[in-house]
Parts: sequence; C-alpha cells; structure tokens
Amino acid sequence: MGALSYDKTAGNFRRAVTAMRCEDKKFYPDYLFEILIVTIITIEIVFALALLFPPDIGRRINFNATYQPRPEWYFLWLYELVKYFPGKWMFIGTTILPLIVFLLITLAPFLEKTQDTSLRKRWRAVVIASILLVSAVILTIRAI
Amino acid sequence: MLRREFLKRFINWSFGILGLGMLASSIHLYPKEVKEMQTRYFPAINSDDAPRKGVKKTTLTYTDNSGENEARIFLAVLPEGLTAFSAVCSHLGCLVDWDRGKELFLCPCHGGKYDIAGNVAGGPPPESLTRLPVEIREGKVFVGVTV
Amino acid sequence: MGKIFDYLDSRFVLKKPHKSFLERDLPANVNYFYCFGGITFILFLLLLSTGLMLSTYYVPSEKEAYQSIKFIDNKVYFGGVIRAVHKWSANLMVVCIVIHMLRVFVTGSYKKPRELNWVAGSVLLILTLGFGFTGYLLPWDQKAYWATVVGTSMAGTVPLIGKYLLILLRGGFDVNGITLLRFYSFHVLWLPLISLVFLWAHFHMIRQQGISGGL
Repeated sequence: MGALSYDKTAGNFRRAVTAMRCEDKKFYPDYLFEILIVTIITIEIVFALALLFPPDIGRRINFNATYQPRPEWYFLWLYELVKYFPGKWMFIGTTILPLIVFLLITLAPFLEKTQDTSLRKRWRAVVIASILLVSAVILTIRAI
Repeated sequence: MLRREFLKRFINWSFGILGLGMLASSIHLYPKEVKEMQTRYFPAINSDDAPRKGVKKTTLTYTDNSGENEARIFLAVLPEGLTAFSAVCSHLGCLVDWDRGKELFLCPCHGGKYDIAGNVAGGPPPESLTRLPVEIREGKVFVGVTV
Repeated sequence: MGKIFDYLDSRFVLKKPHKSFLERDLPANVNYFYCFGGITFILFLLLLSTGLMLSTYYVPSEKEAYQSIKFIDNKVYFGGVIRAVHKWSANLMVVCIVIHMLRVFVTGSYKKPRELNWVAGSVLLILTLGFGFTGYLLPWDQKAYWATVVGTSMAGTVPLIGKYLLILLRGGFDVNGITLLRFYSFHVLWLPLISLVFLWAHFHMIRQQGISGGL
C-alpha cells in the first residue's frame, strides 16, 4: 500500500513490487516505509489545502439579525432531513431516523447473518447500504 | 483459599463501586440551578413610534444576570390590539423575519412560515411564535420577557 | 544513532516486548483502500498536534473567544496556517472515515470475529462527529452560534428527555458562555480522552485478529 503513484507510467516497477508483496512483508522496514510515504502525502495534501483555502472567520455574534446558519457539510443531510418532519413529528427527523441509521451501521456485523464476504451473496446488506448512501447524498445536495 | 476468594470479591466490588461512582458523578455536568424564570418588562419603543398597522421589527434591550442583552421582537397590530412576538422560531431557534410582500414571518433555516398572528402557516414549526405581554405606560411600549 | 538507541534500549527495553509487532508478517492481498484507516489516524495525530498549539492561544470565553481567533489568525507565528491545517484535517478525516468504512463493508471485513472492532469504529465515528459539532462553536462567530442553537435544539426535540438533554448540552436554557466553555472542554479533553481509549481498542483488536484477508 502506498508509494505507488508511480505505477501508471512504469509497469515494470509495479510488477516488481507486486512480486515482492507475494512474499511476506515485514513491518520494519517494508511496511513502515510505506506508512511514511502515505503520511508524507497526507500531510502535503492537508497543507496544500490549508494554504490554498484557509478558513475564514465570520462576523461577530448578532442576536438581532436574521441568519441562516449552515452546519459542516457532513451534517447537511440532517439539516435537510428535519425540514420534512413538521410540528409534532419533528422528533422523527431529529431523533428516530438518525438513531436507526446509527444502529444499522453499528450493528451491521450482527444483522448480517452470512459469513460470506462476496457482495453478490450479501445483496441485502448492499441494498440497505446503497439506500443509506444515496439518500445521504441526495439530502446533502438538496441542502446546498 | 478462602482468603483469596475474599480478596477477589473485594477487588470486584471495589471496581464496581468505583465505576458506579464515576457514572453517578456525571450529574456534575447538569447545571444545579437553571436560571430562575420570571417575566420582567423592558421598554421597547415610544408609544408614538408604535405601528398603526402591519408589523414593526424592533430590538428589545433587556438585562438579566449575565448583563445587558438584545432580543429581536416584532410588534404587530392585530384586531385584538398591539401584540409583541419573539422572533425566535419555534422549530429550532433561528430568528424569523417579516416578509412584507408575502405578509408572512419567514424562518431562513428550515423554511418555517407564520402568519401575522404568529400562527404556523407552513413549514416544520410545531408551535406558533411566542407572544410576549405588552404594557403601554409612561408613553412607552413595555414588553415582557422571561429572564 | 544505533549506539545511542542500543544504550537506551538496553535499559528502557523497548524493542523486546514489541519484537513480534515490529517483525510481524503482513497479508499480501491488501490494496490502496486499506490505507484509509491509517490515513484517518495520521489526520487524528495532525489534529492533536495542531489542536495542542491552538489551545495555547484560544480563550474559551464569551467575550474573548472571537477576538482570540482573530489574534491566532493575525498575530501568532503560523497561527493562520495551524488553524487552517486543523480545519482541513478535520474535514478530510470525515472523508477518510467514510472511505474506510465503505472499504470494510465491501470486503466484509467486519464479519466474525471482528464484529466488536466495527462497533468500536462506529463509536469513533460518533466521537468524530462530536468533535466536529463542538469544534464548530469555538470561533464564536455568527455561523458558530446559530448552528449550535439549531443543533442543540434538535436534542431538545427528543421525546421525554429532550428538555433535560438540552439543558445538559447547553449548561442552561440558552447558548451562552457556559455552553462555549462546556463545548471547549468536550472538544479538548473529554472527546480526545475517550477517543484514545477507543482508538487503543480498535488497534488492539486489529493486532490480535490480524488484518482481514478478505476477498
């Protein structure tokens, strides 16, 4: 894993690495080297983004002005979800549905009975996961 | 071996009680005294400036334990007289704004709508806008807020 | 380097207890998608170090929080960069967690005997979201304040216990300085400590059970 952004251009290099992989890898130095490469790439990406798009700071709090707050992008689905449950049904959007999603995710290994790892045989899990993922994406897009 | 059994039991109980104690001490997070709530009146505007019809947005400056605060309120002229509304949306607490064209209070957050009497006219809010008591004296409009 | 290390190791004895870890074999059939858990941890460490630095200047008080963020941005060496790195690592961390979870799901790696490791991971996901939510308030600007008003109000709609939950989260009826201090405490003490426990559990189980061969 890692160190292989190179492989598209140099097929040979890739093959050599794959061959080496078939033998057992040691943590030190083989694996640690790869970890360091991944670490360096990650840090570089973060720094590049941080320098290119630094976060801004908004205005001072004003208790007197209408303001539409936006949550972080990873909460947008929830922000959108609560719009669809008016009045006394509010708690379904704010509590019940998020709780069900959380339980589905957390208990996934217990809900899935089969020990098979092939996706075709786990089609139920795949369908549920896809529904969750697609609805999260749709809600997020609608909230933007 | 009896002695060792006793030690084991002692250790188990100690850890159990320690855990329960830590769990119980999390009550520490809950504020002991939640702010005492009572209605107090503060001057909003001069009664000469009070609206004759429609809705007027204004700022109510009030003081409580934490010092001077501001709140956005609306003064609306209804058939039953001058009424004050808190601008806090009953849905999730954003501030609503009066839309003169549509004659509705609109909440920017999740699209709540209220009519001029503060009743829900659309969107997710569960209750009408909070009405605040109004008193007119000394040539001023006093509005009561719970602080 | 070697000699100094040997000297230290002969007294401190670090190598021997970790020998099996340092020289263990790894499965051959892992691919790039197996990196994302590790990248998440790298980002966690980045967040930890930048967070430590930010905490030396940030003032979690109603009156000074906003000003102290401006101070960090403008008057502190690399202040703006460190804050930017903190923010971006946090965002990328969520992305990496999602990819990591999808990878584990697709390869079916959470199946017996790794169920509990998945549960520990999902707790870490919630903790991450908690970090995001509490950290969002700390700049104490318009966006932070009103987003927290809305977010905590959601907790208030929980049937039966909603009211108490709301007061517990806000430390009172309103979002104010008490809430800010509370969120700061959660963000820099509670959540990191709890996260470390669960991270340890997560890694411990990976080491004991080995990386899932999968596929």
